[in-house]
Amino acid sequence: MMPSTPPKGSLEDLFRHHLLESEAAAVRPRPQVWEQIDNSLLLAENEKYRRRLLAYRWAVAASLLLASLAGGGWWQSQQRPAATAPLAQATQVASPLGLATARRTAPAPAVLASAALSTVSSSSIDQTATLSAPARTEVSLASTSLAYTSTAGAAHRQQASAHSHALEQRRLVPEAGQVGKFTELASAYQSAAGADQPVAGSILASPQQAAPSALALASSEAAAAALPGEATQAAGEVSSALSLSASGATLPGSEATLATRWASLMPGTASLPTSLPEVALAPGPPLELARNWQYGLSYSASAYQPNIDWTQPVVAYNSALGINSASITRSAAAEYRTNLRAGLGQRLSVWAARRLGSSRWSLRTGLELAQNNATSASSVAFLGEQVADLSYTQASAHPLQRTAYRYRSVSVPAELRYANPLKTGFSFYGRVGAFVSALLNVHSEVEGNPEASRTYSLTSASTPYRRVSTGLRGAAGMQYRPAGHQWALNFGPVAELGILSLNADPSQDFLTQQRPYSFGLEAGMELGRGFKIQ
Amino acid sequence: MSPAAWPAFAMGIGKPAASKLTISRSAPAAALSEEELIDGCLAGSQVAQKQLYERYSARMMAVCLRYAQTTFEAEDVLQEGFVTVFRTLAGFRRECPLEFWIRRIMVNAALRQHRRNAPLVAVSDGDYPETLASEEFTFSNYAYAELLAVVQELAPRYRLVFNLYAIEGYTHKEIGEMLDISEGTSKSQYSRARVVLQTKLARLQPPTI
Repeated sequence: MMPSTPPKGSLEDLFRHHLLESEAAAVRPRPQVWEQIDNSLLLAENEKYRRRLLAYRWAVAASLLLASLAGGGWWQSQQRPAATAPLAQATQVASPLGLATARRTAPAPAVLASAALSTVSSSSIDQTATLSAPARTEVSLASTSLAYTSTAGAAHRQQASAHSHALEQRRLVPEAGQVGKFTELASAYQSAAGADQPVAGSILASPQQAAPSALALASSEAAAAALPGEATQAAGEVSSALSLSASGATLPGSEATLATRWASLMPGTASLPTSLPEVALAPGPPLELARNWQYGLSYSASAYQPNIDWTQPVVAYNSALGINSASITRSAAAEYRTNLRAGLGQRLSVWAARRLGSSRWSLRTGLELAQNNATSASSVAFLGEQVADLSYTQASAHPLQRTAYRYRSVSVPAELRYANPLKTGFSFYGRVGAFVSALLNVHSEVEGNPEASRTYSLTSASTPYRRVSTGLRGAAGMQYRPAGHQWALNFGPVAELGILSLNADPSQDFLTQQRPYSFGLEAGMELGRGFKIQ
Repeated sequence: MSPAAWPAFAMGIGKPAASKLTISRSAPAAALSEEELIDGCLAGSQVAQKQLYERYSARMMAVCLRYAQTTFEAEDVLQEGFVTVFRTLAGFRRECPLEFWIRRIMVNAALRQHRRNAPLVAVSDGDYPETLASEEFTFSNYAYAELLAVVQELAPRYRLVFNLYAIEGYTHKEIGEMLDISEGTSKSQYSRARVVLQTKLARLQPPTI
């Protein structure tokens, strides 16, 4: 029997036989390897959930922002009808005797336009002509309408309507007694207007606006001609009281005729008794945005993520700390980043804003104190500095050590702010800008290992953190300003993004650096008058 | 590498690496087929993950040891490789044996480790002749541990090229692309690694005539 030849082969065959195909080419790793893999998988899973949670949070925040904006818009749209509602009631109860009452109950200062014919537009006259039916040969004594115009808009038109209705009920054929009553009414109206109503200069131009406020004091032409002297005088008083004067140089056709006839009924102003004082209908003081300073105090609470990536190239580490120090520190940096969790960020701000011209935009600056927290964990109590080889050896057998980080900083913002100081109730505000912050203090505390805790301050000789940093900030929300007060409350979401990384020497280039960010809510109070009365 | 080489890597798939598996935080699990293992891992089952690890870890550790200089370094590569396996298992198209796919991942993990450590490692050729004549080796004269030690003593770049070419079966062109070197450089480094190995083997055992 021939002995079997032992297998032979080339160098490659030899190594392939033993290292690849042999049963011996199976080396069981230490049990700790699986534990580390299991832990890594768990962390990866947590990271996945964390990202998903972050996405959900952003979605919820965006939804809240949209909802608040939509709600604010709806509220604003509801504000106007609510303001005019009492006036509508005033219209219903308007009567000659209740006129003054209705005016007093109007919540907004009305601006009553002079019923001067000199400023009546042709369309207003046209409307008057329509109202003065020729068949009845009525002359519209006050064809010019008690036109109201306003800075308060519809509210005053409603008031005008109230007066118009009331006076139309007094549609008179000017008999002597009735003219006397009208004179009383006009005087009452005059006193009311002069007492508390500022007058605006413009007159409603459209027929739709002029019609309801037209005061048609019906009077037959014949009756007017036969009026006794006292009646004529009374009419003159009315016209004087209302500062009526003839006009209509460009009035065409019937309007011009009507105006001429009406003017003929009016006595000359020179013949008016000197005892009748002219009603001072000076233009009222309109509100205007002021350029004065506004001040405020605000507090924000947010989720703050320092988002530091401590990883450095291997060559950047100091080899004097041990041959494995670089790889240990890199592993620790990876652990730190994997376990890094956002913490509570709080900021207290004192600010001042100055309006840009008369717009609703202002520049805002101030002083802010912030305290931000974050947590992470690593097996070597990594705090951002290179880890010596020895410490890794000692710590490698330990589980992850949780580390809490607290960052305190002071910052100065420069922001462009939008707000409407004239708007009472709820309104929108927003601002965007940048800030420069100085890191006052960083305290890192390792759980269960007080000796490893570190504190970096402004006076520390070296710190792995950036001492001065910058960032961008945006905020928007709703502002509530009660009527008649010079303060407002603000509430809304705020977001920040660092322009620079929090760590001093990031290995990544500028565009790919990991930057701190936060997202939260702010509430504040604003003081100062944002408008002036001219 | 051609698919024809897969069976060589797939050897031992049917042989369970551990007859009894005790899964932490769970009851002992019965051995699962490869498909069941994959599906279980994709479903996030820790039992399946542990079983997959138990089945392939020993052979993959051997792979990592060939590319690493120390056992600790090999374990790092193994850990990184298995984490990658579990994270990217959904991308496994099941067109080749699972072991082959895992081995590729381990090799890639070893290459990444090499790139990370490359700046720190000083390459020293030592004093070796330029070429040696080809010779035959009797397999039984050498033990696994001896050959592994010889490979681990190679300079990192030589070790990589030798493993990739002689053991894994990649071509020099593929190796050049993987290591970002030219094909000629790969050939020359392989030749140099071969001389070093031959010299060291000669010191271990006299060649069989």
